[in-house]
Amino acid sequence: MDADIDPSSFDLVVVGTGLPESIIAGAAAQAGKTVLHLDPADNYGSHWATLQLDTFVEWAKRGGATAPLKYGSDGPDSGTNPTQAPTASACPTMESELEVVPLAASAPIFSDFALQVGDAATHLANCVLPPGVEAPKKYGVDLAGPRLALASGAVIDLLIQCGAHNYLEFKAVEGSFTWRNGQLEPVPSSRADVFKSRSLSLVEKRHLTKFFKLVTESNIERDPSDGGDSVSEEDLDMAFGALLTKHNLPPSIRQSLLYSVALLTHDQDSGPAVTAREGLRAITAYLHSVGRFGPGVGAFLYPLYGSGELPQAFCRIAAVKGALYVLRRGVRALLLDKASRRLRGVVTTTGQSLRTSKLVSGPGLLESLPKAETQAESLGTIPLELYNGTTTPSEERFIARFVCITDTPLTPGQSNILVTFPSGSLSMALPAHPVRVFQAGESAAVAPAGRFLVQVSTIGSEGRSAREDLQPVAEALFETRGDADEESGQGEEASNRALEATDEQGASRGTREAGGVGERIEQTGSDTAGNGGRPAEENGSFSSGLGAASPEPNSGPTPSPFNADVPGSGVAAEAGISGTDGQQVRTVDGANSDGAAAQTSEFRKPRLLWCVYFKQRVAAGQELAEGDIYVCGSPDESLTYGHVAEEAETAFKRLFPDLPYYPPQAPEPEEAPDEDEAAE
Amino acid sequence: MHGRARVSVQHQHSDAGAKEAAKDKRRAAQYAEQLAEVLRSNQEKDYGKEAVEKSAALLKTNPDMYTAWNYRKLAIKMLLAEADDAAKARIFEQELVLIFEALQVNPKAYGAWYHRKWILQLMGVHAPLQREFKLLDKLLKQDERNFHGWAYRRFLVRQADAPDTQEMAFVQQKIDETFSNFSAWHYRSKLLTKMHLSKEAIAVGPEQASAWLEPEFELVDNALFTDPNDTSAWIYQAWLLQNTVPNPGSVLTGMWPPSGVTVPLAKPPTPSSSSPTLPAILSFSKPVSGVNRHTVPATIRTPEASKKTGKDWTPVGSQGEASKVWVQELPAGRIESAELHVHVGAGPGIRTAEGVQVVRSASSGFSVRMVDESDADAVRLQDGDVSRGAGESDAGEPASDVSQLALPGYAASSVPKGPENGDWKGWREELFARQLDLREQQEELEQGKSKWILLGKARLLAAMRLLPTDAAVSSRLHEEQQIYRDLFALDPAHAEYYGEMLGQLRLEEITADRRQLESHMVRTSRGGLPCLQLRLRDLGLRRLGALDALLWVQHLDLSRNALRSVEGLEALQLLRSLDLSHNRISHASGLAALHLLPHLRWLSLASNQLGASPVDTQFYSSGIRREVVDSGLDTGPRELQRVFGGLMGLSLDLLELGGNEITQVEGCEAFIRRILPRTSIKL
Repeated sequence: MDADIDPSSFDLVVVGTGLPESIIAGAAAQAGKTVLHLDPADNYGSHWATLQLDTFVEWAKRGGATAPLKYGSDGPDSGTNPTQAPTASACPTMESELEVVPLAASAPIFSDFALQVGDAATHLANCVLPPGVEAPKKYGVDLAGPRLALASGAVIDLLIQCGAHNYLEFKAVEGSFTWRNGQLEPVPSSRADVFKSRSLSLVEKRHLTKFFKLVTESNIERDPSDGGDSVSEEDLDMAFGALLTKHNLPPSIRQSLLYSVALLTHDQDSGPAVTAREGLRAITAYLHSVGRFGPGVGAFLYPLYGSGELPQAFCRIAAVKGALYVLRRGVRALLLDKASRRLRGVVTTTGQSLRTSKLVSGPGLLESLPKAETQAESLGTIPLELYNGTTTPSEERFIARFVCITDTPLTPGQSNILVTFPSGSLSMALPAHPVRVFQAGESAAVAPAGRFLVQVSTIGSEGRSAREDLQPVAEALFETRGDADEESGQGEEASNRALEATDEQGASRGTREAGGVGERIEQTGSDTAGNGGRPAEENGSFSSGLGAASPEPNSGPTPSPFNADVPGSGVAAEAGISGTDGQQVRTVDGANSDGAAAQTSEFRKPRLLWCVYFKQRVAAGQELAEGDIYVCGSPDESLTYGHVAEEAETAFKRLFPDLPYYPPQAPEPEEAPDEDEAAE
Repeated sequence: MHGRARVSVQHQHSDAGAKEAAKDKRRAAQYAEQLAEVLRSNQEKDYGKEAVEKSAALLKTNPDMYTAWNYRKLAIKMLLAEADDAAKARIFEQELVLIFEALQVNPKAYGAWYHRKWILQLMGVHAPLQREFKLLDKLLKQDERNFHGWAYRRFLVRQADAPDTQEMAFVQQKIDETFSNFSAWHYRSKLLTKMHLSKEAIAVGPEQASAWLEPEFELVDNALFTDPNDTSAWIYQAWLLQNTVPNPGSVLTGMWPPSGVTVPLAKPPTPSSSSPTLPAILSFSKPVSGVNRHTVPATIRTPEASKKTGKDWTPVGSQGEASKVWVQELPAGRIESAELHVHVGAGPGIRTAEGVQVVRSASSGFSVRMVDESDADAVRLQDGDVSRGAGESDAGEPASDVSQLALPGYAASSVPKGPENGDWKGWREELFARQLDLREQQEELEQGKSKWILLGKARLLAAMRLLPTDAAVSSRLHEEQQIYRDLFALDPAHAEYYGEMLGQLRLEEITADRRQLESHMVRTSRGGLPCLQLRLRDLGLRRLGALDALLWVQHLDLSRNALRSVEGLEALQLLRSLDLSHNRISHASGLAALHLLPHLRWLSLASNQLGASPVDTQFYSSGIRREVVDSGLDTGPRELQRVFGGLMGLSLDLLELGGNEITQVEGCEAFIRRILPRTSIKL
């Protein structure tokens, strides 16, 4: 539909429905501003979207670029003169005062795609889904993945504060593990974890709980003269890794704390290390998240249907407050006031001129600004160094990514788990930086039954392909070789076992349709079991309402791989890549407490059915034009959303300094009307 | 729920304006009406549908209204009588739903839980036990310390005859979730008791004990190291220690006269018609019954013949048949020698109230020699001449020659620890040694700041002492005492408790070691006659512990301690004089044991706290009040009745009362002279 947008004047135009853009749109709409939210793609989310597998493959074939817009009028790909005058629907009286600044097509931030089907690398252009991977529409690949929300993190709090949590459902990440010596070791993050751990000695356990206590009681911002146990000032400035050693924490725990708890993204032993102050803050954030939504619930949440749901929730907030949404439309030029050089409007890809004084866009706007030959030609209000190009190559950061599909879970009985590979945990130099692996299954509605979607990321190394960086991890975790025929039988069995082990009731698998925000965001109903006359919350997901108490992440007993009475459990043997037969096995610390068939202490590695490697350039957010324009950053190498929430808030405050940012809403009238009042 | 700070209701409504207050008032009025209706229906026995429904509404508001639950029970009984199976099932289901809703309002409503049990029992074989387990799981997830829930689980387990393995798995899961859970540890201990400590299991032996005890120690050590300040884990560990040390039920702990002794018995000063008697004393660790002349035959050998005594054993001061102390008066006049045998074996034998048998036999062979009453070491039981006047109460020379006494009438009377059944292969010694090591590691980790670790260590040392093979008893006693002294400083809030433990240990130390015991003995005189006194001054005793080593004591000085009561003293059947000056006795009810000492003639209560406390909780319950009334003494001042009433009936020659507040009360002396007409009173 190329119809003109009506009205034609807005307080804020947002291009791109990535997460920071959507948060800002929602905030502006809630503060009463008129907002137009565009996106050149035909889905929501931009770089933060969750794509079905077939859509993802098409996207990958395009090198991660947005699909070209198919319509009659001029667009960036159409080849017509982008400086062509706007159409007649633009405000004619303004024409003479405005300068048109055309925008080039923004280059995608993705690159270096490589596909692997089983063991064979295939050209992406010939990508065909292999036999084990059917039902592509049931998969949800996060373009910004792996990405999890900390339960006490800024984005969750923001969702609750603005009421957007009502549009979402979350799954708890059931387990978090650190790779060590060929095994997945559970990350101890609570007293109960420490108690149950089989790999810590008694004394080590005490050191660890002491440290946790120090962290939780050591409120770094508080007055040090308060007394009590806290970290001294000098200690706060030392390297975090060194602080951990100072507190007698053994190397295994140190790695776990640095990378799986404080979630640091860079290797701490080579290169710049974070200070103790920052590290403690990170650990505090993690510890506050553990158990926030019930005992036994870990620190991380993952939205049902993938992380692409988050921007949509904020878009919905904006829409409810009156923002206008138009997909398949972008902005192809800026309109500046000739005299003051301030932003006056934009020209859409359909050629329509719209008035606005504020613009927010996703990453890429900078590159699409025309480059000036001389300073004289530069648009005075846009900083010269940015205007003339992007940041120098040496400052560019990359994320190496891979996405794959497997047939069995990494740990028995758990569907959605996080695995962290500390730097150097595979071999001396590998990986160079910590690697994050997030596996999600059917219960998160991002994979069909019996299949798991695994997303991996790490900081990309200079000059190396994503595959070079991440293939060792893939080989450590998965069965990458093997004859499809020979193993298909076992594969079937294994996937059936996986089915039994991980089948969760509850999340109704709504088909996902492209289209309106409202249709996508559907609440799943709870099962009604009628036990004792009360609808029992048997399903595995949270009921909507993050503020509510006691949601249950799983039916039945919390899967604890540490039950003492399972035979064969106990400290697992050494890393097992059995050389004799072809089967690769890896022992798992602990065993399954659910009655799944995979109950022995040896566990077959999941088979890699399909995977894609690629790289993403990290683009930082930028403010331009004295706060009239904000270019949001791309997803970065961290695991959580903290920086995004911060970025959005800062940007909003710069755009609209006098407006409140998501003020607390008046509470919904939840209680039934008072009987007394009704009677009156 | 646990872990939530209490918010006072007033505080919650502090912002409420008049509207809130009016709303509350309306709600209260509504409730009052509902309640009145239900109570009326109950009285009128109206079990119509409407009335029963109203009671349901009431219970959803207030699940604690147990009258409403009982009303419903009556209604249900009536309905069930005329219902077919389907209707019955409906009624039960409806009731279970109601109870569930009531429990959502108050998960700890006794009435609701009881009602649920009642319904389940009525349902018999149709009771949906598996579903109940699931519901209980949910409830315990919300509040894992709801003791009603745990008790209900025990009920369900009994009904369903659920296997122990299932329950162990459940309690393990709960402990894994959070080990700060008294209920879970308690449940675990109950399970383990059922599985391993039942009467049949005890006979099984040491191998099985090690099989279940060692993993338990390991489990609790994980908790203790993870959080040394978590009391539930320490309490569980204390329970484990108790169950590791030998505990073969009730034991005979003291016997007098001890074996191989010749008792020098003083001849009565004036010839009397009754021949002299000598009490044989048995003391047990727990009250037992079944001590009679068959289970403990006493044989007397006189110059003429040897025969069993015709008399029987009597329990000392028991309300029923069980007592910790048993006495038999042996005819002493012509005994050449006598033998006592504690028999175990055929027949019901000597057993505790729970039916646990005394399993070890013991015997004592002793002889008796009549001596002149002026003999310093004589056991003097006959009444002396009161006119001889009061004896000195403070002077006395140390009896340095006690060790040379060839008269082993003063030998320790405690029965030594016997051998145990089964070959314990030293695993307990190893276990305890490892435990001691771990406690010391913990001390280092916490730099001595955790009182729980110190307490745990003290309890461990006490347990180690109880092992029969333990040779380091006295050094352990020392170490334990030092720990309690350290605890005074670390945790002054519990000074009384530590003081009590210290006192006990001190007493144990003295009585366990002959030399120390001898160093506490003094030669003094009473009633003009020389005597040997045991001085246990200044030990900080709050109460008396096991006195089995002191059954021979006739003159005891317990002054300058912190005693409020002398419970336990009844074992010292030979006691003649007792110095309780400078203690904390505030009422005569603390001296109830003295009535069981037939030979007690001198008592000092000087400088105690008589009259300091107006409350005596035992004045009425112990029957003292009734005695006071019966003897017409209730005309005196109330206060005096309360403080001194309990002394009535003691046959004392001399009672010292100086230095007590009560003596300032008008009429005090007169009242006491009425209570104890034959006693000399010294104020």
